[in-house]
Amino acid sequence: MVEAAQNGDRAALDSLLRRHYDRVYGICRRMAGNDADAADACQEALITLTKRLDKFDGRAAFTTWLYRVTTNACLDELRRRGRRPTPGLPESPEIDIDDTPAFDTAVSERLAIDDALAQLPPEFRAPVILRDQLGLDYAEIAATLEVPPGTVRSRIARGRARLADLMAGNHDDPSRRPSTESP
Amino acid sequence: MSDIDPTLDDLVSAYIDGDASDVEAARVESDPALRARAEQLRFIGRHVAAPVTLPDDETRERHIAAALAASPIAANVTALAARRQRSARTMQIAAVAAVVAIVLLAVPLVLITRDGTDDNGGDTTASASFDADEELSDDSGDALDEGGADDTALDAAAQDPGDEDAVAQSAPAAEAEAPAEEAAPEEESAADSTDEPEAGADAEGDFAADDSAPQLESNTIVLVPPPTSVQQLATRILGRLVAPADGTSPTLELVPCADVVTAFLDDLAAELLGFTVQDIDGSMFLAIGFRAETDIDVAIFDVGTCTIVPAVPGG
Repeated sequence: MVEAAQNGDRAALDSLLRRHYDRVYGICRRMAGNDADAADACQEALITLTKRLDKFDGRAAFTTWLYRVTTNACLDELRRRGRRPTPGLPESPEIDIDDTPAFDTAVSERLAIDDALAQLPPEFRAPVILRDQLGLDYAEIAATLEVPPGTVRSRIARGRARLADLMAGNHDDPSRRPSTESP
Repeated sequence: MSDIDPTLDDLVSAYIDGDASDVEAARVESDPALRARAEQLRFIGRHVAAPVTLPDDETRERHIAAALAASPIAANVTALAARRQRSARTMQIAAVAAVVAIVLLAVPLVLITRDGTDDNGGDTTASASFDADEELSDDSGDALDEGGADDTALDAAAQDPGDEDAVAQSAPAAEAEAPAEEAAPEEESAADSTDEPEAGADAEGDFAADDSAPQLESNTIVLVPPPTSVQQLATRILGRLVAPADGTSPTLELVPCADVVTAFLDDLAAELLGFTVQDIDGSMFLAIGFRAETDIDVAIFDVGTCTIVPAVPGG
């Protein structure tokens, strides 16, 4: 499908985008921290993907290349906006009226993780998302981010540790927003 | 902040990812504090891995559409299509493509004749019969030899005598075609017409602005009775009758590339079930022949070079 898309098969390109859309958006959502910025970042990532598809030479797995393009597009988009990701309420929460407490908890935890992720510098945020959300191994993350595997391991560890601290503080008192101090 | 040494966080993080060595794993498993820290990091991992709420379908489609539009691949396809269209326009294929359409009809012959009594002046009207059976069973043979309108299977055709591109224009005007289910009645009418014994003089009158004659509409599929002599039919239809102003007998002139088109049709038309003609932009026509439901022939006719370019439907 990738080769067909590279050769000008528009239907193949369309299928390729649809196949990977959810994962691209997922990365952007975690990287951006809110739905609005995630949508913009996802759009930029998909456009970058289609514009640079002819540069993919098949030496790495397509998904590795896809995640790299997506991650960089997200970072570029956030950098262009000149600000860190801003956590926000989901725009279309799936509210179960018979289970409001669970929804409250879910939203609270979601805000907490969004907020906590927002506190991480991008170089820590990206490997944590690639590892925990996409399940990539260290080698794949290293290829995606173009850093040594040892660096990946270190950054994931530091990122998780920081998230744990932030989440723990948030869980002590759900009404209390996490600290905004830099790590 | 955690009381765990950052280097131990690195160890624990690698442990929960399955990336720790045996020695490292043993160390974590033997230390309650490290095991507790591992649980904390797993908890974090579960939150990060929690599914995100995906955007609605409208947003999704907008994103994909924008990406497709931005693709240089799409741009290349558009550019190629534009080049092809420009090229096609320069091919001047309208005349022969339309003539082929008439050949595939297996009946109609479009005549170009001057009608001095035509009150409609410059009006151009082309029509054709669908009397394939009558035409194909006619032993009178090649119209080139016959040289007369009485051998033709047409109902009527009135053309502006001043139009030098009469063939090119008249064929598109004949552009194929009443719906298939309407063809039969028209065939009956055509049969009546061709049965007229004094077709020469009377036909000339019939050709003049016969507005009641069946008009062919573009983009309509017409079922075609299998022709028995494509060569004969094509030769006749690829010619045009020109009626001199002095009232002498009309003469038949072949259109350019007639021999090429005729040869091509010899291979095609014996199995022909139907055809349609697509009027692309008023100057370019695409003939599509059906040999079976899934067996379609598409051809573009280039008058300028007298070549036939079979094309792949949808390609």
